[in-house]
Amino acid sequence: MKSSAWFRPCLLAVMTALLMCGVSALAQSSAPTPAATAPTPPAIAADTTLPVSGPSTDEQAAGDPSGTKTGTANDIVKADPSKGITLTDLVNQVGQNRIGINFTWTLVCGFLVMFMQAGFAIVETGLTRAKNANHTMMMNFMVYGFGLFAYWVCGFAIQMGGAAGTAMLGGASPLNSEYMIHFMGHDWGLFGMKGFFLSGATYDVGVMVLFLFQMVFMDTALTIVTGSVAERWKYAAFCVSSLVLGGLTYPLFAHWAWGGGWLYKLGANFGLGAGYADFAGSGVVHSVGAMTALAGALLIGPRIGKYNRDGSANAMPGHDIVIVLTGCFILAFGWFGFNPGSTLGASGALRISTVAVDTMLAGCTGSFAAILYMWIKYGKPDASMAGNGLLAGLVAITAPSGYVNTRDACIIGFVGGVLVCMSVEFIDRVLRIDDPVGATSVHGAGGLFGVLSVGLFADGTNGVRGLFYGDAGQLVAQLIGIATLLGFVFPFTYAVNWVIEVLIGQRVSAEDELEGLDIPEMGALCYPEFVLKRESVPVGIAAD
Amino acid sequence: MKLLGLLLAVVGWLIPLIGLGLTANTSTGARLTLCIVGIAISCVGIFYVLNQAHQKQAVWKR
Repeated sequence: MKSSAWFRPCLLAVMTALLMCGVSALAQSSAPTPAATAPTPPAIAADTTLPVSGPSTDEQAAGDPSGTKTGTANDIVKADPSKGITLTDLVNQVGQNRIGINFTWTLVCGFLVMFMQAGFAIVETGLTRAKNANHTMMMNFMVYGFGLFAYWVCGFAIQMGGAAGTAMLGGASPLNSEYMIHFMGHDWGLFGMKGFFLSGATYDVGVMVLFLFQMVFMDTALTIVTGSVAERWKYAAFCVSSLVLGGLTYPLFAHWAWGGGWLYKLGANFGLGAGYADFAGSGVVHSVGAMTALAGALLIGPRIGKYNRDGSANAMPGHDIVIVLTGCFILAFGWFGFNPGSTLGASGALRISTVAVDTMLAGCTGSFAAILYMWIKYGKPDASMAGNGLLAGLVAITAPSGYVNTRDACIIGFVGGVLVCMSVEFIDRVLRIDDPVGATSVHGAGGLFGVLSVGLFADGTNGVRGLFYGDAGQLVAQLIGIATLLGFVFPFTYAVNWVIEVLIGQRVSAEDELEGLDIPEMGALCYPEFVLKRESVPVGIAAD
Repeated sequence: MKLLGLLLAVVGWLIPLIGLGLTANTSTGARLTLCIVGIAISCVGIFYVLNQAHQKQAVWKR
């Protein structure tokens, strides 16, 4: 009895305690928890010295075989070394590192694109006859200099003078002046007006990176023309034409597409997707070059002997397929600067890996498609068309490489490879336009298809969505870009080259053409120990 | 003929351009149609009219 007397109150007390604990737990789990008031960290002044230090001078003097004593607090740039590292020093260093990575990436990619000049030079030279090798090589060599000079004088200013800031390169904000007109209720940016001779405020580190990268792109467009009019273009006419293309024609369209011009703003002004999107230049670089190449080939006319009197075409094979395919490899290598470099940075633009893989795949499927086409149609896998197929695949993926997945990249490259074969046949046999290296087909058909494919295949991952992923407006923006290339760039560049034709003449004499341009135009043979095949002057042509 | 070819090319560009202002923001179909018509006209101007004019004086016909 006694035990039960003290047991009951104890049991009651335990149950009460448990009940209270349970109610308390329930209350904690169901009732909204008041916002946790974390203790406020003590405010750190920007000039607070951080308690960090790197290895001592003695430790560093002993050498660092494992790399653990290099790249430490000692390497942070300090505004006042006597105070040590402050928060401001640390944050500034992070910003410097980001921009430093982007500068390095963009410059190295620019150097790769510059090396593509060598690829273009030997592809074009290999596809022409040995008697014109010096002339073709010299056009490709000097187009770099002429283009660079014209672009420095005025081309860059026209293209990027109103592009405003480029965040990936730390701003480049001195480029802030654009000529615009007000039309149909919107502002239409026509050309930039700052950066002539890279003078004034454009003497800026970010602007210099942008200039170098954009300059090598422009030069790529110029080399396209030298192929289509090879073996008959007067060297003086080539010089003038290249200056105008590099200083005016290319920068105008490039401003519209990349420099903040009206094509770029089709999305903001007219609700057309993200506006005209051309990630690395299927339209801006390749199609502009191809339009000029086509205009030149039309104005100058076909090589003597290319067509018979009944209009049938004769094959005029190049003299060295080894350097053609070597050049294609160089170009494919350079394309890794062309497309991935167009992010203008690596820090904050990790899609460079996707862009690089897309580029690689499209080139592969392009050459594969061209080989298949030629093998099925003619019974042999043609080497020069395999090279052109590779290039067409690369040209086609240039615009969409920043916006498509790998499967679509394969499709785009494959279509580009087939298109180039069909286009070469069409231009050569139906239109009877003589293009010795197929430049108009590779860069024109491939380039225009590349522009179109952004409007079809862009998957929306990077802000651009094409028709197959739900945005027909983007396709319209791309078609307006194509219409501009055909309806503005071509007539403009045709008119420029027509003026050159009138003023200084574009075509060499029939005698010089038949002899080969190395001696008449350049004064030296490329292969002085070769025995070159002599050709006679047809009667009707010699009379000219 | 050469001028006509160039003119057609330019007209083909102006059609979708002017069409941007004439069509409402929502009519993507109309804009798409105008673009295709414009590109077709430009192609005819360049590849047919202008090329035919050049072919008349082609070196292989002399």
